This record gives sequence, structure tokens and C-alpha cells, in this order.
Amino acid sequence: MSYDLILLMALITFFMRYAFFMEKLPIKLNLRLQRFLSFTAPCILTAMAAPIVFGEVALSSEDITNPFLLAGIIAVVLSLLVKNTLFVVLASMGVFFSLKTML
Amino acid sequence: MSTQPARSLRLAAFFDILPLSIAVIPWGILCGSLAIQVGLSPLQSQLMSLLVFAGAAQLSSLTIVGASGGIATILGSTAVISSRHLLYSATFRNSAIALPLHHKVLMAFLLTDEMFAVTENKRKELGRFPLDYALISGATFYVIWNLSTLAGIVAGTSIPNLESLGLEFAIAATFIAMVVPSINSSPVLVAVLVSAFCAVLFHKLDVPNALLLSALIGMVVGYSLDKEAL
Repeated sequence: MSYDLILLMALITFFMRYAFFMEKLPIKLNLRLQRFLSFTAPCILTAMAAPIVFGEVALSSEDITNPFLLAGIIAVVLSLLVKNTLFVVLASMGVFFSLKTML
Repeated sequence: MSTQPARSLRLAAFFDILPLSIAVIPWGILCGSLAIQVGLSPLQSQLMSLLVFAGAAQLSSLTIVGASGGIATILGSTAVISSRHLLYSATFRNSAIALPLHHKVLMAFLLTDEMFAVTENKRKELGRFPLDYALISGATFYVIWNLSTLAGIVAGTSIPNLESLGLEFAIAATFIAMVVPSINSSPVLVAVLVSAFCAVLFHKLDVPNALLLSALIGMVVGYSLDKEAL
């Protein structure tokens, strides 16, 4: 890999992040569009997390020994009970790695 | 709306992004060690995290380099993987557009999944866009990402089994911990469930651009159920 390639990658990722900050862009975000975009955070983050947790679900008895599925469900339950993000992250990671070594 | 003093907002930015930064440490280490393993120099490996600053895009490009893939494949996958940031950029457009250029550039540079997630939560809570909060949470994440990359570069090839550890669970756990408390209405709940279902289905069926597609379907469904939007 060359320095040029790293620079090109950097330009691409920066462009994706900066694109809509440009004033020249002929787009006006009205209230409806803003309302639509308010669904971005929950939907994208979920779409990234769901295949990790449920991606290997087989709908068979194998599922009870799937650490991704079990610890993922525990993470959901914990986030309903506890407001502290750090606690939820560390506790469910602890559960995940214990299950992974035990099962 | 809120009278939260600026100083405690800055502290909140640091502490809100901290758990997400911790969960990403293994990924930074993986990025650094993988870069060395596929033949990048230590300086190149670090520059990748310093300049590109996009975990998923970095990891996939390193995997492509490892498989002797071409430049076009690397740039193409970088563009596809980071295209979700267009949505983040659009979400913050109205708040960012009036900012001075250097703030806009800095904010765009620091606009990761994690910074977007905490800042969007804070923005909804405050009812206004918290620029300091965005920059501090973004910068905190940047520093931790680069330090963990450095740790991976130093460790180099001595941790070859890192990939089999199931590190992706750390990412899933942080996103779950971010999303679940932010579900405050039935349209959001339905949107999230639809996105989750589509993402798993598309993953099983190997549908291209599954991430963006499943997120957009959830967003459309959620929006159409949203009475306030009408």
C-alpha cells in the first residue's frame, strides 16, 4: 500500500462526512426531511449490530450455545434496566467472553 | 431549553464517548497489527488511523491488501462502507451549515458512528446542536483510536488470533446500549425492529449494500408511521 492510496482513502471518507455541510448543495432540509433523518441513528446502529447478534442464528438447538445471541439478548435486557452505557457494555462483554470460553 | 453549564457539557462529552471508545480499543489494536502483517510500514499503519479514521473501511482495505486486491477494489469498498456517513452529514446539515469553515471541517473529520450516536442523543436531549460536545467527543474517540492502533503496531504480528476472538461483539454491545434507551416512541421501535430484521435477512442472503439498505427501509417505515411528520 502506498501513501497516495492512504491519502485517497482519507479523501473519500472525509468527503462522505463533509458532503452535506457544503452550503452550495442545492438541498433545503425541511421539517419532514429532518424528521426522516432523525431515524438515522437508531436504524444505522441497529443495522450494524443485528447481524452480529443474530447473524448465525440457526433456529435449532445450536442457538442455546451461541455466545453472540445469548450475550446480545442480555445486552438488550441490561440496557432496558440500567441507564449506564459503560456498565452495559462492560457487563455484556464480560458475559460474552465467559460464554465463549465455557461453551 | 437547557441551562447545563458549558463545562459539565464538555465533561459529559468525554464520559459519554468513553464506553464506546473502550469497546473500539480491540479494533484499533487489530487495525494496527493487521496493517503490519499485510506489509504496511509502521508510519503508514499509523497514518491510516490518523488520516482515514474509519475503522470498518480501514479493516476491509487491509483485508483486500492481504488478499492482493487492486486499488480500485480498495477505493470502492472504502466508498461503499463509508457512505453511511452521508446520512450523518445530512442529519447535522442544518446545524453545521452556518458554522465557520474550520469548525465544519473539524466536525466532518471527527464524524464517526460513535461521535454521531452520542451527539445526536445529546442534541435531542438539549433541543439544540452542541458543537463543543461534538468536537470533544469526536476528539476523545480520535485519540483513543490512534493510541490503540499504535498498540497494535507495536504488538505487530505477535497476536495472530485476535480475529477469532469475536471482537465484533464489543461493537454490537455498544450500539445496543446506545439504541435501546433512545427508543422513545412506537415509530422508532418499529423502525429499529424493521432495520434489524432486514439487516439479518440481507446478511443471510448476501445482499450487497445490506447495511445502508436495511437502515433506509427502517427509516422509511418509521417515518411513515410518524404522525408528527404529517
